[in-house]
This record gives sequence, structure tokens and C-alpha cells, in this order.
Amino acid sequence: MLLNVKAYHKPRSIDEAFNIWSDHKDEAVLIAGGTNVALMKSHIPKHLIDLKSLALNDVKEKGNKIVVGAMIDIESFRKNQIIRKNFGDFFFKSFDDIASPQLRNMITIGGSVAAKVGWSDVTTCLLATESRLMTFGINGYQNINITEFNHLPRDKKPIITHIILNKEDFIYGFRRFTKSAFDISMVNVGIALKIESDIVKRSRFVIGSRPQMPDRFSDVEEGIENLKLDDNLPNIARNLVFEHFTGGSNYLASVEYRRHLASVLTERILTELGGV
Amino acid sequence: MKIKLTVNKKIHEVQIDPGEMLLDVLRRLGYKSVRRSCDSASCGNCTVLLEGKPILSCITFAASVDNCSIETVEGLSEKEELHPIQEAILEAGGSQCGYCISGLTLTIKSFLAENPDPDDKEIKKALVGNLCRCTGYESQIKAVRLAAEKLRDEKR
Amino acid sequence: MSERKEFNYVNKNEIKVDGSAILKGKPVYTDDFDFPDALHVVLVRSTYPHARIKSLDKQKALKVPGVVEILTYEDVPQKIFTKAGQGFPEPSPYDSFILSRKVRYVGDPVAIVAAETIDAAKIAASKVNVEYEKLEPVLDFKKATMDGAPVIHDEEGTKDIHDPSRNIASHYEMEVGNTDEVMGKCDYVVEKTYHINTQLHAMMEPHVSISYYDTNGRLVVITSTQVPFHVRRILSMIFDIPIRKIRVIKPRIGGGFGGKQAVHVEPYVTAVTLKTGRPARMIFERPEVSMATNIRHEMEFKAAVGASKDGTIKALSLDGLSNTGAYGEHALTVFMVAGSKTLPLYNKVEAVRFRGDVVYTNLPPAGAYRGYGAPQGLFALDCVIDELAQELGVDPLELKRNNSIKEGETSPIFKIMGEGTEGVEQIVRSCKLDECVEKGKKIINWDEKINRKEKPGKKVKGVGCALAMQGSGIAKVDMGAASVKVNEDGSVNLHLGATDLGTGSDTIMAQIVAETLDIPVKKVIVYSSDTDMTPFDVGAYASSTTYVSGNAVKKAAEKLKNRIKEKAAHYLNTDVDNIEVKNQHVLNKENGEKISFSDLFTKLFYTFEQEQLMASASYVGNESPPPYLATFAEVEIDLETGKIDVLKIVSVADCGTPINPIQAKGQLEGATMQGLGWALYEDVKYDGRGRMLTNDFFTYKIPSRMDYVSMECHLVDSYEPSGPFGAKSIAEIGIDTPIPAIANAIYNATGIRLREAPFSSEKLLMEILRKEI
Repeated sequence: MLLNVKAYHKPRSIDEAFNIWSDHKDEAVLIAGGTNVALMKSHIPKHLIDLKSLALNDVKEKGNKIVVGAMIDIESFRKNQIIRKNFGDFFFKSFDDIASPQLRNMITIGGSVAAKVGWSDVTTCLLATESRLMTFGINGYQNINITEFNHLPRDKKPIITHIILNKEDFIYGFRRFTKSAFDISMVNVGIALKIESDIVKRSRFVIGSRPQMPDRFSDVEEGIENLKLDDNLPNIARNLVFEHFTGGSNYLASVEYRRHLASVLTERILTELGGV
Repeated sequence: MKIKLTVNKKIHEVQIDPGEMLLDVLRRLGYKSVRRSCDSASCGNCTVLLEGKPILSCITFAASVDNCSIETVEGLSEKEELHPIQEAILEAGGSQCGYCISGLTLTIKSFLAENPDPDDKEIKKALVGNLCRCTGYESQIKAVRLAAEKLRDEKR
Repeated sequence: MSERKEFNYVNKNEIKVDGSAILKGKPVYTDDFDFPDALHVVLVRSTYPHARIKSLDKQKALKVPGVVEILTYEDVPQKIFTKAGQGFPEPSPYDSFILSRKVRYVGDPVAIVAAETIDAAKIAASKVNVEYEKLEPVLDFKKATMDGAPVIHDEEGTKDIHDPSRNIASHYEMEVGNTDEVMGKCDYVVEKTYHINTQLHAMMEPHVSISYYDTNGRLVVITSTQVPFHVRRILSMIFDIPIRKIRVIKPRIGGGFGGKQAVHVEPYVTAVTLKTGRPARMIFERPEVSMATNIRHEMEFKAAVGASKDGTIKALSLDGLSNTGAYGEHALTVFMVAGSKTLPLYNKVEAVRFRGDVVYTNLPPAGAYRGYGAPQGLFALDCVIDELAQELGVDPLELKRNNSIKEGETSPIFKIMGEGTEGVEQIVRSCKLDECVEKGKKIINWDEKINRKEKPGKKVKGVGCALAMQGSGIAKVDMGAASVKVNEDGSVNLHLGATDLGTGSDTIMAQIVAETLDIPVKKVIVYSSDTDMTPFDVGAYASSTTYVSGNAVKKAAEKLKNRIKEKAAHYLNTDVDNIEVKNQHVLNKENGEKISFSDLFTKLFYTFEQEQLMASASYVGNESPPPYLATFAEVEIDLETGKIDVLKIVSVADCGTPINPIQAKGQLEGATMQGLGWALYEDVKYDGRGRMLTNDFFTYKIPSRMDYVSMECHLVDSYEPSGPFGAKSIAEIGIDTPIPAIANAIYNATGIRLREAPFSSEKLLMEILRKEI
């Protein structure tokens, strides 16, 4: 139970949602899947704005993009036929390891990004696919990337309405390391590679739960550009990650251990991708 | 505020606080089978079925499920009869203190509806969010296998 | 010595008597009881680890709508006591108040807030303004006794604290023979230091109590407790209410594991009811359960073992330090059990020593927890012997087995060490440890795997074993009582004080009555743990229920059976020696004449020698027969990440006759998993100010279903002559072995000895990297 809540809003349009949110600023919380409720300070929110009522949960193909309603739960998302057709097992398997069936029925894609928690496996995977966000804010709809969104100050933060994924010719891999199986990641790594005749043309290396927010590691990406996807690549990338990793320590793990794990996970993902 | 909630096919019009959780409202309505344990989305004891799917009632705002249909353990069996899943748990020794059992039973129900003949690995994965401190899990895994058998026999 | 009997209702997998109600989700737990008029109680808790309360301002909080009462140390009796629910007089120091002027850990209760709604109580609690004079805390138990360390218990009137000025709650030492001298003559001596962190009980049901006055003005407390009779006694003492005016009722309990063997909630709701006259209820939030009830005693042992070349263990020594946190609940007794329930296992020694201090710190108070010190002691003892095996170049299993206690043998420690006092002499009448070892080693394939040479790779496997013993109740201390009476339909009411906290004890007690009277289990109606309605029992702890309460139940049922036979003899006009009780009937063996229980009991009520047949009995153990256990673990280590996967854990126990094998195995499986969790995942952490960081299930991870690969638990054939139908205990022992077994397996796999439990993947990886360099 959250104390002090004055109203539970179920806006019927995105304008209405944003207006309520703007009106109450520090006293309002957006409810997407609701799974971050447990982390809320119970005394703070006075207005709850339920975005589920906006029915933003469809998955549509639009040209070379896939537009996904931000309120789709991750269980429906990972099982969606359009997603499976375009991303193979990437989301299907990566998201299957997150939390529990109960939570996967509740966690939404948009809510995962908006919560801005460092350990979000969802955000790591979306960054690896270079997905963008359709948001609604003071200037109406805007298409921004996740990192931009993460750096917006709280009072300027728009509402995420859609996730826009690219249909692209990449291969993807994701791994997480947890203490126990039903736990948040100690560290997670998402990698995307564009391979042309066995050569890495472009890549994305995302490391999350450092414990800071998931982020791209451009030094690693540049370091493997134009290298051959062969038996040596995993080790090269492993060393690059080890060298360029930045992170911190918390109750789950020390920064040294995280650096080590991120390197090992990188090597393992690339070994797996190389085998495909 | 007032919401309409269908619990185990019974309709309730209930006055709620806007910050109230489904767990609190269900217990207030007398559905005591819904257990409060961690209150932070980490144990699965408060699991109920929302439109047939397992969710955690401790982090679900009651206001968000207005006009929705909920199933709790009270709805599983009538009078003296036990549901085959409940029988299986008892026979396999899958319940010790029993505090986790309501949530577990509902998760099993939804899981077996999707996967009527699971292997142990699938069972463990499907129930990973239902913690139990008493049994060490082995007897509960046996119980799920037994329940699956009973439900398949029932269908025949 | 062992005898095997065929049973009708014992040693059978009877369905739990409370099973159907629980499965149907009936309102059976404390929090399920509705009291429309009840006040909701919330505690204001200390945010500092060590501080004196300078002032308390409740004015702002009292203005919150719905707030009815706020109580501080000025409003409650200042009677010193111990929250530990133990036999009287308690072996724990008196060092606690309901509310104190001084706070000693983050979470220590400061004020009691009662309001019409839980929300109002919470809001008001946040508005109680407490001004503290901060004191320097003791957060490292190894520094508690250092010169100049802040004194945690400097209050007046404490009782039985060993040395308050040096923060020593309790001290114990014992020695058989001259340990140093014998060690000096040994061919091999291994001495190592082992540290084992605390653990949270993490039972699913939080601590919860409801108090109210009944219509006759008596105080009734419905509570989730393992010790209803101790709760009544303690409430009577601290509030100065006669015992006769208090009734404590224990409904179904959602797990305890020792965590509910103390009065954590009851005094606070009672204080509100006494003050307001109204019902009061409180359920702890999970962080309160974690950091403001009891946790396990963190311990460190310097362990030494001396042996001759031929592998005979000649001397053992455990030198320990135990962290009891802010208060000394179970301080002395838990520490003693670390020796008394481990060292007798290796009884062939010429000399053995156990000693150490239990110290206060400004951390959450430690208390009773399944195993009760034995797992901490065994981690050191078993591992140091494992390390000796490595020095000797022998199979550790054989070394442990050859030196372990056998049927018909004894250990001087049984007599020397009891719980808080001297123990009792006893000969081991049943010990099937060898059978446990044989069965377990076959399942794990020990002989092949222990000498497996790993090929270099990214993953390595290893096996480890550990042997353990425990006890069955506290001899000459723990008492349980039961009464039985008959009904017209041939059913029997069983009333007993024993406390079923989810363990299934109500069921096995019904089975014992059923077996004695030869009636179906469903004809035994069990009612337990209500201080008004049932006879006394110390409660559910120390692995006592099956053995102590079970013997009381058997005795009562036997008495009743004799009364039934007497009456039947009159009715059938024969001598009582001709009477046999069989399948709900009484039979005249001479002529085959018989009468059913229901006919006989009906006649006894209305028409024939009218009398209510009933009987009662008490039992206190003269000894405490140990159950035995052999545990084997196979682990796989990822050398690149340090991840430890338990591929298989096998525990095989001798618990005498299992009254209900499926429930007995359930105890073993649950304890094994709890031990596995402690070994690998459950790691309590504090911030620099003594606040527990891992105080919820989001940060404190008990094992989930996917955190082990396979587990097998078995029971071997055994019969304990002094137990009810041959039974001994099984509830605790399973948690003693997983930590040493897994530590030994990690060594077998990697050559790395982890002497600090739990074993995190990070800790292991750092060792692996160090070894490579």
C-alpha cells in the first residue's frame, strides 16, 4: 500500500496522461507494469497515472521498422510472432531468463526503460538492437534514443509511448550473470554484430548492471571493427572489455568482479555467435 | 474510489483507496488464501490469476484491475472436494507450513493449462518465482508431475 | 539392540491432518483472523546502531487522524528480561526491556504506535520525533572485547551477563584430558580458522500477533510462535499479570526455523491492549522480520585436530567466538551446541577442548535457528578433519567414518555439556551412520569421483562429504504433555502442547495415537498449543517434538488404552488379561466376543458404568538420542566466473523410525536446501553504520527451484529403543552438513580451501585467479 495517494488516474489519451503528469510533477508516478512499486518510497507519490489504460500494447511492422506499444508485457513481447520473425531467438530467449512468469506478465517494455534501473536486462537488449523510443512530452511526440532519454532531467522527462526496433541485418547475443537464478543481474552483456563476408562491419557492445545504467562501449566496438569473426575475435573482445569497462561496487559484486564477468560474458557471446 | 472486481466468478463492488494494493483488497474481501510475505515482488506467495495469468497481487494496484476477473485458491474447490493439483500437493508432501501453497497452486494451474505434460526442468523454470522455505522443492516438483497426470486423466 | 516392528499407522505416509484446510486457503494463520475493532500497531525503530534517546516528541504524531496511542519507554513497565523463549529459568542473560532508553542496533524498538488503520499508524510512526545522543557502535565482533570498546550493556539491573564491561554475554570452556599435551605427541596436527556468517530464517509468514481481552477480561494473544507456554510466562512476568489471566493461542504457523522462539511481537500488541482495552494487531514487514527479530549467530572457530600416522584422531579443539548482536538471546546455549552436538561424533579422542566467548555487537540480535550452533561448529570440525585427510593422503570419508561414534558407545561430552548446564550421560543405543555413508556414497558414486583427475578446462567437478549428529530434545529439561479422551463414535481427542509450526507434528502425533489404540488417523482429532485448552509443552525447538512430545502422547494413549481394556473387561465379563484392542474394537481373546469402540464409549456415556474415559501423561527425556547424517555434494565450478553449481546433493539420515516418512524426508530436504542456500546464496551484508542492506527478498536470496540441479534425501532403517515407536529427531540435522560438504567439494574440484562461508562466486574466483598467478 502506498500511503498518501490522492488519486489513481486512468487517462484515456496520451495528452491527458501527460497533462496530469505535468500538473503534479514531483508528486506523480507513472504506472507501467507496476513492478517498480516495491522500490518506491511509500510516502511520496500522491498521484498515480496508469498508462495501461492507453492500450499501448500492439506490435506493428512499418517499413523497415517495428513499432511496439510501450505497455506490452515482456512475456507477450518475447513470444510475439513479428518479434520472433525479425530477431529469431534473441528476445525470445533473453527475456525468458528474466525474473519469473508472474513478473514477466507484469513488466512492460516501456516501464523497464523508464524505470532507469541499472540492472534492467530489457534495456541492455534494446540498446544492443539500437532501438529508439517514441515519447510524448512538452513538444509532443519525439523520436529519441534510450541514452538521450536516460540523461533527461526528471522534470523534462516525456512519457514513452512506443519502442521502435530496426529490421536490420545483425546477429545478436545476450548473457546475464546472477548470484541465484531468481535474481537481478550482477552484470549483463548484449552484443550485436553486422557481419559481411566474415568481417565485423559494425557492432554494438552494451554492458548493464555495472551497477550503473546499461551503456554502449564504443572503444570495444571500434576495437573490433573490420576484424574477422573467427576464433580469435572472442578473446580480443574479451580483452577490450576488460580494458575499457567502467562500473562500480555494491552489495552484489565489486567493480573488479564485474569487469571480469563482463569480459567473460563477452567472450562467450562471441564464441556462440561465431559458431552460428 | 469504487471498483468492480470479479473474484472467482463473484462480482464485488468495492470501495478502495487509490494507493491500495490488490493483495490488501482481496484479503479485506475475505480472500485470506492470498498470503502476504515479502510484499516486494520477490516471493510469489501473493500470486493470483488475473484473466487466467499469474501475477503478484502485492504490487498490483487494486485500481488498475477495475472490471477485471481474478481467481484465488478459494475458487478452486467446492465443499469437501480438493482440486487435483491440491490433492497432488498433499499426496506428494509438497506442503509443510503451507504459507506458499496458495500462490504455488495458482501458478501450477496456469502452467499446466499451457503445458500439460512438462519435464522437471520446465517445472522448475515455471515455478521459479514461487519461493518455499520448508520443502526444499523436491516434493513440490513431484507434486506438479502428479498433478499433471491427474489432470490428464481427468480430461480423458 | 535394534528391533523392527510392523506398524499399522506409524511409518506410513498419512496425509497431513491440517493439509486440506491449508490447501484450500482457509483462514488458518494469525493474520487471517479479523477483529473489526482492532488497533493496528507499528513500531518506531532506531535508525542508529548505538545511541541514547535524549528526547522523544510524539505530539506531531498524535495529531495524525486515527492515531489512538503512542507508547514510549516511559509508558511501559521497565522490567528486564530476555526475549528468548526457553525453559525457566532461562539460560540467556536478562538484558532487554520492552522499550529501552538506549538503542543497541538499527531496528531496536523505540516507540509503539497504535491507530485505527495501518496507514495512520505508519504515517504517525514516521512523525515521532526522536533525538538521539549517538554513541560509537561495535560493528565487528572481533573487536567487541578490545580495550576501550564501547560498552553496549551498561544499564542497571542486568542479570547473568558474563562480563558486561567487556561486551561478553557468555563464556564457556570445557576440556577432557590435556589437549595441548596430546596434540604435542601427534604425528599430524592441522589447525585452521573458519568463519561463518549469519543467516536469515526467511520463513514465509512474517511474525504476527493479535491481542485482546475476552468477555471475562482475560488477555488473549493469538500469535505465530513456536513457544506458546513461554510466551504466556514471559508476558505474565514483564506486565505483572497473573498467568491465570492470560491465554495464548497458536493457530497454523507459516514456518519458524527458530525465528519464532522468542517474543518479538507479543509484548508490543499486549502493551496496546493493556493500555487501551482494545484488540491490537501487528504483522511485521519483511525488513523488520530480517533485521529486527533474530538472526543466526555469526561464529569463528580456530579448529585443531591431531592424529597419528595410522589415521586415528587423538585430539580435537575448537576455540570460538560467537556474535550475539545487541542482545544475548540463546547466546550461551547456541554456542555450547556448536561443541556439544558436533564433538561427540569423534569420540575416540584422548583429549578434546571447547571454549570461547559470545560477544555483544551493535548488530541485530542473534537467536535460535535450526541447527542451533551445530552447523557453525561442524563447518570448522568437519573441514579441519577433511584437511587432515589431505595431509595424511587418505580418503576423507574413510577418515571421518573410522573415527566416528558407533552404536553402544558413548562420549564424555554428553555428560559435560548440556544446554547452559551440565548434560546427561548416555550410551548411543541407535547409530546407523555407517549405513548412511554406504547408501550415500553409492548414490554419489564416491569411490570413483573422489579420485577423479580433472582434465584442464573451463569447468571442473568435485565431490565432498560431511558427517553430522544432533540431539532429540534437551534431556532432563524439555517436557511435553498430552491428554486424550474418547467420544461416542470411537474417535479420540488429542490435546497437546506441542507446537506444529508447519513441520507436521500434529499429524505424527495423531499417528502415534492411532498406532497405540489401533484406530484410523482420521479418528484422532488433534488440538494443540492453546495454553487454556492443552497441557504444557516447552514448544517446538531443539528437535524435541517427535521424541519428547511424541513419547508423552504415546504414554497418554497407552494409559487410555488400559482404561478402555479395563472397562471392556467389565462389560464383557472377563479378566482384563483376556482383553485385546484391535481395529477399533475390544475383543475377548477367550471366546471371540467383542464390542466396538463406538458402542463401548456410547454405553460408557449413557448406560454402563458411566464415565468419560480420558488420560494424560507427561514426558521428559532422560537422554537425547542423536540422529545421524551423511551428506555428499557434487559441485561444478566455472573457473572463469567462479560460479558454483551444485550438481547433486545427497543426504542420508538415521532418524530412527520415521513416524511419517514423507514428512520426515521433507524435513531433511528442507533443511538441506536451507543449508545449501546458506552455503552459496544467502549473504547478509551491512552498511558502514550497521544497517542491514540485505533485509528483503529482493536483496537476500534464498534458493529458488533453479538453484540446484538435483537433490536426494533418504532415511535408513533404524530403531531408537527410547523413542516413540523407535523414533528420533529429524528437523534440524539436515542443515549441519551442506556447508562443509560443499566446501570440501570445492576443494576437491579446485584445490582451493574456502574457510569463510558463505562461498560466493566472487570469493571463489578471486582465489582461482590468485592461484593461477
